[in-house]
Amino acid sequence: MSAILHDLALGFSVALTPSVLIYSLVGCIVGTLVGVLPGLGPLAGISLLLPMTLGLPPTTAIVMLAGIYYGAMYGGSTTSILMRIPGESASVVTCLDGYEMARKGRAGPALAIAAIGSFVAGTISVVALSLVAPQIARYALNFGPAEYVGLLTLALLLLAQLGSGSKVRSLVMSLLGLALGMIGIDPLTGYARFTLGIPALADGLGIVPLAVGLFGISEILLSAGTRNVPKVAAPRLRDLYPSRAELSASTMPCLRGTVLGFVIGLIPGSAHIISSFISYALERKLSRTPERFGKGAVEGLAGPESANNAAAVSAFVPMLALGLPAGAIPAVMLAALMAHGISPGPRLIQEQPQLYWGFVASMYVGNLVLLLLNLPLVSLFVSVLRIPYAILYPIVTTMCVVGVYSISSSVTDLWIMFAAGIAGYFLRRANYDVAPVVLGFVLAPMFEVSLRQALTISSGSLWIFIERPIAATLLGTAFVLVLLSLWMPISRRLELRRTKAGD
Amino acid sequence: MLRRLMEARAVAASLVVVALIFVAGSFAIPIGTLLAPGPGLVPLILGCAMLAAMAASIAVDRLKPLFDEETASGADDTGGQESRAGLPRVPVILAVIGLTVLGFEPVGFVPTIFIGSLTLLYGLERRSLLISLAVSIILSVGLFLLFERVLYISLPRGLMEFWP
Repeated sequence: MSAILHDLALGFSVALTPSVLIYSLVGCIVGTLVGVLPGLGPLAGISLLLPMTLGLPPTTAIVMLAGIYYGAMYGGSTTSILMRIPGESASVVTCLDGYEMARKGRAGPALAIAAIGSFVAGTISVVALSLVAPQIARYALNFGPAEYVGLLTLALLLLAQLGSGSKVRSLVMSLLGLALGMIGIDPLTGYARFTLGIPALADGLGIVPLAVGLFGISEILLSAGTRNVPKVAAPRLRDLYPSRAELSASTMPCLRGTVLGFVIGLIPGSAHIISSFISYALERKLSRTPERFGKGAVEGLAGPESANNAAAVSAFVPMLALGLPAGAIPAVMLAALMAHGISPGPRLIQEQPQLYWGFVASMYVGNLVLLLLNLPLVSLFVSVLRIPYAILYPIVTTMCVVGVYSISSSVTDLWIMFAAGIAGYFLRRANYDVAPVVLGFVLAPMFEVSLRQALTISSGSLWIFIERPIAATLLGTAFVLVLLSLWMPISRRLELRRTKAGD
Repeated sequence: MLRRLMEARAVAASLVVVALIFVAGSFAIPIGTLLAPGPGLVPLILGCAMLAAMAASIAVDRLKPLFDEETASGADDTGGQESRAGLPRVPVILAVIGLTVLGFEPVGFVPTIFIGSLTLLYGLERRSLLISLAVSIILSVGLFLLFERVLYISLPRGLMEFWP
């Protein structure tokens, strides 16, 4: 313990030097601005700004990139809450209750809870990262294809519980998302699938055009088609910050989301996206009033936001400790380190303690900077809601178009967004929840590759999912979940019948 | 209500068609076996699962009313409330987005966004010409400069190739 404190002291001596501190601040500000632009999420932000950091010393560069990452994560939540446009896929869940809170005049508290939740989760996760990183990273390496199939099946079944409407319809939507994820070149054989002869579809549908279409464009169309355009209540000054009740209601979801997000974030893949969805499903399951979810429940915002940020931190564990990036963003960070001639891995801590612990300490500093930066800006962000809707929606539409185009400079992406917008409009009018489509889509490549690899390893035997303890536990949990969700309505009906008989 | 009911049935039918496309499309590529799964295996499984889930969904819907009061209140039956200009909003917004995407590269970012925003603000929403022009110019030129000069992301110039 004293060794860790000593190392952390070394880290803080690096992170608190004026130049590093300034670059951390600049990274947080730039990241927040990039995150606020729809379509430009943390990955695009880091990729775009990576060349600018090449002239900096390695520690300063990686600290600035980490600042951009956190800032963009928070910025993405801002557009989700205010406009229902997820800046990046991890913010999709934030749209569900965050936007509903904004519509009810609680945009300020929603933004503040997102900032506080992100800060708490980020800080606790950094502490955990400092203490248990190597041990947990070693455990996460035990995950093979069969375990992934178990985990993803559990995530998809939890997802069916996510929607506020019919569970069967949510399942249809998550299957639709998985199916859409099959479009493009097969990663294992190179076959082009369902591309309709369009070369641009060989890379598959993009997550951002799909999410912006399903959420942003469909929301504009739904609001425009409603007899009374849903007024987003502009909050009064004294309502800008969360009440004591809201803070208290968000405490446990925030802590649960942190633990969940940290553990899930260690697993390679789109962990921070999965963690926010699972956290939402968990909070809804634990709530005594699940019907409030999707209608502005504080818990539905605090849990996923915390999980998302905790996963964002823990995704660095395998990267720093083992040199294995746990996702696209750590991969870009890894590339940044390698561009500076540094090879992350088990020896990084011994060979470059200043860089490793400086980076860890900069995470503490970055979280604090973001909180101090964003809480005073809540009123500025909320002032967007004072713009009349008739003026706001053309602005939002333009932001959607430019944000989607800027990712890969492809008009095909714009057509995908357009088609997804129309599909989302009709699906939502018919009471289909579109959030599961996005998670299904994100999970699709990992699900397919894992399933095929597991079958190949086991020579086509399905026993592999039962023989391996972690896979069996995950699938067993999924099975119990199915039984519970079947049993609960039956038990409720039986109870009702008993009450009626008693009367 | 009848229109919404028809819409819901059309959506359900479309989802069944999508599932069938995935099932049929899977046979056009190698499916393989459980021992050596091909690229068509998982899409085939997903297509079939989607068909089964749709069948369950339709069965559940037949057991209960399709819409309750709460869910029916989300949007009106006309599919597009009229704007101040007396035009149905949804088709006009869709047309504007579609034309913007169509002209995005050949015409260029600035002209398409300017015309699109002006159409929505002045043509559809009947906002004052001054406000409409100001917002349209800020959106088109402002975003162009932000992306080109600050973020170094190229946006299509189209007819404005002469722009420095």
